[in-house]
Amino acid sequence: MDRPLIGYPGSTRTVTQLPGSDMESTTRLILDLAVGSPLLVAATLGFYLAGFKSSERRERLVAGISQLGLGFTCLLLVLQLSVWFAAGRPVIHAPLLAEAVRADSERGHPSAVWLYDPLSAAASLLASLMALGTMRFASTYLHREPGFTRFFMVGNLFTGSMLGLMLSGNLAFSAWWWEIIGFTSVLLVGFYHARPGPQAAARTVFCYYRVADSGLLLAVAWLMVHAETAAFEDAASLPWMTRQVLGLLLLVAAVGKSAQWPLMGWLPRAMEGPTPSSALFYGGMSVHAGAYLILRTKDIWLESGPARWALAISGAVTLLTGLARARSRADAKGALANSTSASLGLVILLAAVGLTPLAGWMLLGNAALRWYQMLRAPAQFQEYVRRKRELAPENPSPAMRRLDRSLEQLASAGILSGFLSRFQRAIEGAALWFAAGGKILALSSLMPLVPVSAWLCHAGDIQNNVTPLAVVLVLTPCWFYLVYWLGGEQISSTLKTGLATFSSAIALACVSQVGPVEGLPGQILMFGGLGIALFGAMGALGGRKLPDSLVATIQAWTGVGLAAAAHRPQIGWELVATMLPVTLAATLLMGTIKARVGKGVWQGLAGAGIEAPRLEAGWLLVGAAFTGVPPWIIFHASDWSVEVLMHHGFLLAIIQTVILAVLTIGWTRTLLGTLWGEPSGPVQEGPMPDLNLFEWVSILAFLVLGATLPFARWWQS
Amino acid sequence: MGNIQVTPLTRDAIPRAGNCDPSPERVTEAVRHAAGLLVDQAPLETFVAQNTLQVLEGIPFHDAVRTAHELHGADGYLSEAEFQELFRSGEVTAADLHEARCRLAWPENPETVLPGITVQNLENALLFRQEPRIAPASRAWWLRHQHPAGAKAVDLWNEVIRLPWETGGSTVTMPVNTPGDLARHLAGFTLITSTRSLLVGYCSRYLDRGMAGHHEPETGRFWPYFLGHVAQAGIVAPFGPALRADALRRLEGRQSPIDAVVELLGLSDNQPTDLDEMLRAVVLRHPGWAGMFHRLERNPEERPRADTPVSLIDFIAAQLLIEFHLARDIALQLQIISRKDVTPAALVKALLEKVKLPEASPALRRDPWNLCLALLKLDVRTGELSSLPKAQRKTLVEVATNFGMWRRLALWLEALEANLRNQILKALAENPPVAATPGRPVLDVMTCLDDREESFRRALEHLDTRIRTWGAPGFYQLPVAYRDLSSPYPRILCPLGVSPAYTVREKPASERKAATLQRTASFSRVAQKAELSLRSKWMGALVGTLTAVAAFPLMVLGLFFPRWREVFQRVTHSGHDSAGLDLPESVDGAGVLAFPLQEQVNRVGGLLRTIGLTGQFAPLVVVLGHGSRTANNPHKSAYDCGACRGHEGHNNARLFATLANRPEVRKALTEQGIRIPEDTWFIGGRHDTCAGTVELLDLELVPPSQRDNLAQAQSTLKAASQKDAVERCRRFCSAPKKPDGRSAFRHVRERSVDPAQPRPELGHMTNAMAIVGRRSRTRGLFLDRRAFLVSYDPTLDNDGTVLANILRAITPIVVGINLQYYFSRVDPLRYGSGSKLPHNPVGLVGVMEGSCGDLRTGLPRQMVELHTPVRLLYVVEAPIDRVRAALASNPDLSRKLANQWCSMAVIDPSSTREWLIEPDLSATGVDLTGKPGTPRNSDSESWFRGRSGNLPLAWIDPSLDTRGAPAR
Repeated sequence: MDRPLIGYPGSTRTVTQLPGSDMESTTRLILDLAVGSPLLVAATLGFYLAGFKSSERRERLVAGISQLGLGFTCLLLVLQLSVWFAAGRPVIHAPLLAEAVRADSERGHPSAVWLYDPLSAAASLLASLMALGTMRFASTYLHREPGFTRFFMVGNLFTGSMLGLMLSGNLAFSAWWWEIIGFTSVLLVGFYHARPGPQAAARTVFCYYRVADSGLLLAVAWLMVHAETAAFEDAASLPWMTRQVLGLLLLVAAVGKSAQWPLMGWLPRAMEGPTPSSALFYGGMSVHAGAYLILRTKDIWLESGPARWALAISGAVTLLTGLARARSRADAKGALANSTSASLGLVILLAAVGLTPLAGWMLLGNAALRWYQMLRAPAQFQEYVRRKRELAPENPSPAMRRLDRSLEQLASAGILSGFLSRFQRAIEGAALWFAAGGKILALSSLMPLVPVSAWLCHAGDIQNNVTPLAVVLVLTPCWFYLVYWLGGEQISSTLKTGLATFSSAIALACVSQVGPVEGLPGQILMFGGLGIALFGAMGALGGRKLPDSLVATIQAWTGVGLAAAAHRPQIGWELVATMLPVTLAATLLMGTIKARVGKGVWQGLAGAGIEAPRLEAGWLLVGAAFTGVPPWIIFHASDWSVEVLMHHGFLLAIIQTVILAVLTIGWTRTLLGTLWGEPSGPVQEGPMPDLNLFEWVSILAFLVLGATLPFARWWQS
Repeated sequence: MGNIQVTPLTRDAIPRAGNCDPSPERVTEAVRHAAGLLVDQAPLETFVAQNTLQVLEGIPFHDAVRTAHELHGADGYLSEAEFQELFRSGEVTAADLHEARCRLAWPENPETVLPGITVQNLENALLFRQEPRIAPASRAWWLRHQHPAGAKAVDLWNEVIRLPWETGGSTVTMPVNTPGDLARHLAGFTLITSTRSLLVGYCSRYLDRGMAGHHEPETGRFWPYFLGHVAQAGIVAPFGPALRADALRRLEGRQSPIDAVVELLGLSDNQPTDLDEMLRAVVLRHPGWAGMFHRLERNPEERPRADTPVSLIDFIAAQLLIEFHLARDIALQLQIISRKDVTPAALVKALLEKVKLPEASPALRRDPWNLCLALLKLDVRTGELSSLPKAQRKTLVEVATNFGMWRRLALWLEALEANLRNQILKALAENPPVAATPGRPVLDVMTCLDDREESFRRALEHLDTRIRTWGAPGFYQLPVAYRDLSSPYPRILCPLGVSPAYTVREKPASERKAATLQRTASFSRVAQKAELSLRSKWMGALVGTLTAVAAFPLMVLGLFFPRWREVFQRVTHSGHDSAGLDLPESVDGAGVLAFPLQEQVNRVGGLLRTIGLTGQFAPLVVVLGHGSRTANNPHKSAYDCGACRGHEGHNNARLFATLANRPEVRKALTEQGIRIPEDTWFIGGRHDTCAGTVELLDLELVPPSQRDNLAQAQSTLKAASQKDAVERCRRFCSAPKKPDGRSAFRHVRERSVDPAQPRPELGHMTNAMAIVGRRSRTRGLFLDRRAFLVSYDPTLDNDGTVLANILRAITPIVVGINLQYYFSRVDPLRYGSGSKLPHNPVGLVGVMEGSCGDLRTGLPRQMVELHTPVRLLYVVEAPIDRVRAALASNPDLSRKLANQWCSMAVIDPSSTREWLIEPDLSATGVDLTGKPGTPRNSDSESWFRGRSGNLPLAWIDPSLDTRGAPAR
């Protein structure tokens, strides 16, 4: 079955350039290795973490491997820099892997391309050195800390992704790395599992990040619909209007990620991890990703228009209010966080004014400065004591005070910032609401009846081959939801999950057997699917127990599949191929946990991750597979966005992106709330026993299967 | 600062039940009761160690620990697994356990409880059972899959659960009935985090002592301050207009905080509530911040501005307001209430109807689980329990309950302490193998009594038997407020509870020196200003970001090679206290008290007589104050001199030396019988306990005739520092494995400048005893840095006043340090301040976790993790009657001894007779026959080489060869 090129039938664009010159192949090799090295270290440490108990004696090994990997990266980047200088500093586009690029361009996905130019050259070198310094710092600083290996694993994963983002040559490729950066940031904000504060902060950060992610995903879809490619440089030739929309979407992404007005409230909250992680993420790199993206995409928004004005205003307001807030904070890390926001505002302002080289220089400078200041934040205590002893106290003039106060008012009076903090509370509220009203969840579960029936009538019309068996098969989900509704607490969660998976798989498989559905039935399927997905997402958000969240997530993905199947039946197959093994892995995980602790104690597992690393790793991987963080889900998401954008316009695309965001937020909530944080049930005296090797390997195998099955079809073609 | 009056609580004083009378007076009283439980810790800027459970000092230690557990949920002892580990490593022996049982009057019981198993067997099995940390819900699974007995173990477990356990005592407690508590219970998640995220910003700015870029001009009470800010916050108010309107209403109605508290607690007349318990729960939700408000309420001089009326009730009102709004939102979402405008009382009523308590089951309790493990260890077969007669089944339950966790832990602790006590008493009953060479010594070194100086003093004495060392509280009996050249504000350099009698000001020795100092000081000021402005100031953001790329390589290199920073620091160090200053006897000027000559003489003479240095002065007497300079460490003051109120102590040392060198003082001293020879020179110095360096100060003032002695002393001190560094390195994981003096010294210096080092030094870790007596009794004894050493010559103190003074002066310091380390170690999360890695310095009042966490009290885990927590043992060398008299005049110490917060042994100065002071303050003789003698070794290094744990005490006798046999 031929797969149409990315969402736009009749596309003429076929193949991007293949590796040609020596320079390009050298660059490709070097950059592949440079980005791959920390990722490889992260993978090694991940396996190590899951396989063995962390032990003090292994600290040197773990830290050594990390420094070695990053040292290698630094060397490679220096080498690349010298080669590049010798070649006269050309702008280089080098595909990630030649074969992959061929396959990619054949199936119409944006290809993975490195872009090596002055900006990415300087930024990547700085970033790798900063990461190397942090690893050195952390190897002493985190000595004997529970989670030592975990820190290095996540840190390496993050560093690799950050380098990937900096060196990425198109927007879709950037979105991959962007997602992993966000995921790792949240993991390190919640580094301390046993305390509720970091978990709450991690959720806050994740909520803001999902807003930023929505902007980027929509931008990717918008760009691919209009330019038929995601490359930065191709965007420059788009019409003015298209570029302005793109610019505004990128602004949403950058504002969220770089803590700019009006989404600046999360950055001080993120200072919950150990000092080196705060330095690496919120001093040095992660928070700079947004501003970097703005510099990277300057061709898109630099032409005068609302996007550029919006950037300038956001930057200017952040600069002023950030400094005012930094002055009024009495804690070291909070003040630093606000200063970082403010400096980034300056960077964005300068870029919007048109001084992009200066902005680039300041971006790098700010990263270096804040990184170092954050590492030394604990020392501020003594420095201020000394200052108090030796310097006269500052007495700002009343006028200055008034100015500061008004600026702070401005910062806090941002409609969006107020909205967002309420948005997060609304999420918590919705969670409670769903928990209280279980019936609504069950009722919503009956919704598949609507679109499926609509589709059935339609399919009967066009194909005239509706057999009783097909009806039975397609109605399977309804059986399940009926059981779910009637059975309530009586039936076991494993049965529920199994039924949900089974029936959803059958429904999706049936839908995918029929071609695209046009006309009114298509609309009904689309909207019905969206409705199901929305209810599923809210259900996942409100699920107080893990099995409920799992069922609701399956429901949400089924809705996504049904909606997308209106135009792209293949998505049904791909979702089944992903969902089945991932759900099996999740069910297996829940089964093993339940065997250990009995029924109804999901909330009592808090802190289990500290002494059960395999359990935690399995949990995170399963959660990530569901939350839409891994690249293959991003493919689905962006594919789906493109579909919706093509056929139903911008508003609906925004709605479906919001559904995805809410779905993932819900999962994070369950994930972090259940495994980490303060228990709300009886206080636990100890952690849960870890998974044994067999259980762990089985879960991993299912996850790998889920990750690779959807690709099998592409590789065939 | 005056003495802090702490009313000791007794167990009965903590009300268990009460009626609900929601009058403001009753609520105020309940707040006062609740506040008494808060940890009373000064702002970190002036942090000094003190007993974490000071409020419970009025009741016996073991009871207090248990009470505190009921209140805070905190552990009061090491875990049983850790004690078992100590047993395996030999720090506790079976004999010690037996001794502890005798002391605690819990004799072994030979009664049979199961066929072939006595109560004693069962108790031992309970004591030594092994169990992994495991969640109660996982027990059955664990037995089936992880225990060798498998399914049979599960059967036994089921039988154990069916034993006649007493009902009640469930692990689930009824939530207290404030709106916040009830909502939390219904919602299933804690409200603490959300409350803090709002509250902490206002608290930290209100209490800020100088970290915010600009201070709040407000000096009013916190409650209106908070309301005003919330009311102004515009639409950002995280709860939307509701909280804002509420705040505005209260602000305009000028509601007093106590009225607000009464209203927000949601009390109504007909609802049974224990008001005290309620407020206890409220206050303990943010114990750090509440504690700081409480502390500053009673200590105005510690407030950010003395006229700011800090008060705990304001904080509670603000906390309750936020909690009420959170709870109301939750109730709305859970559809418990339908209208937004609900009063707290109505909300509580509505919530109470919904609250259900989970059931308690014996399977979740500790005692049955422990009994099951013990029975498994004793190979009890399945079915044996159910066939037992009823009485014996009851006995089983009784044994498991009576010999429960608290009793086992108390037994372990007493045994651990008995082991160490026997070691030191045995050693002191023997004769030291090496004495100081008689005749005039070549060098006298006076140090602080600090336990970290013990190894340094031992190293010095080992280098040359003609060196004598002395220990005294590190402020050298000079309670002064001290103002150095660089600082416009004086620092108080004396222990807590002593008010500074004089103000001393530093003065440059010469005009030229003054000019130089002026230059370095202004350079330092400029550098500091620049560094600070990079953080938050307008120009800094601009200039810093522009130039940081250039400085970046230096930053990275600094991380890889921390010692480069040392070089850099040496260049930029302002050098205020490094040379050439004169300390005048008095300075005039506003508010500066004169330091009359007679006082100077009394102070110097008093100290010399106290430590027993009244004759045979060496040509050079080095007086060392100590401090700890570290690179990235908010808890610096906890490493500095406790006797100088958490400051470095070298200025007291300099002052003492200056006074003792004055001819007028010496003349007056001669009249009192202390003749200091003409050719004796006192010199002050600083011992950096982290970098290990000794820096002698005011070198310009040393007379030329002393130059040779000085050079000699400096090389000796350096050699001792190196030996000391080698000994310290055995505890450090990253230290060279087989260090020599130079590499060890380099390593400890590197630690002090490495910003990545969370353990620059280990502080008072392993402190365990305070020895008050002549150094000749302990000279050559390897005390493993575990003892505070106070010099006291009982032969010069016939009326006992000196001993009484010493005990009065050192008790707050040494017992405070000891118990703070104890509690921070046994529960680093609740009594300590957790891991220091996520700490965020705030407002110079303390550290918190993240940007809106609770203020953390106690010591960070990194400081105490290697500590072996034992209560302090005083060893006093004095006639027993004199000790009795000293105790009689010291109610504080007597109370501590009576309640066993510390213990005391007494050694007769003229014999080897030893006594223990019992809790009723009577003395019983110590019999150590049969205890092993103290090992002997040729030098410290071969004794500790390759071993990183606590070591047994040993005599260091250079006349032995390295194998411990007498040299030929």
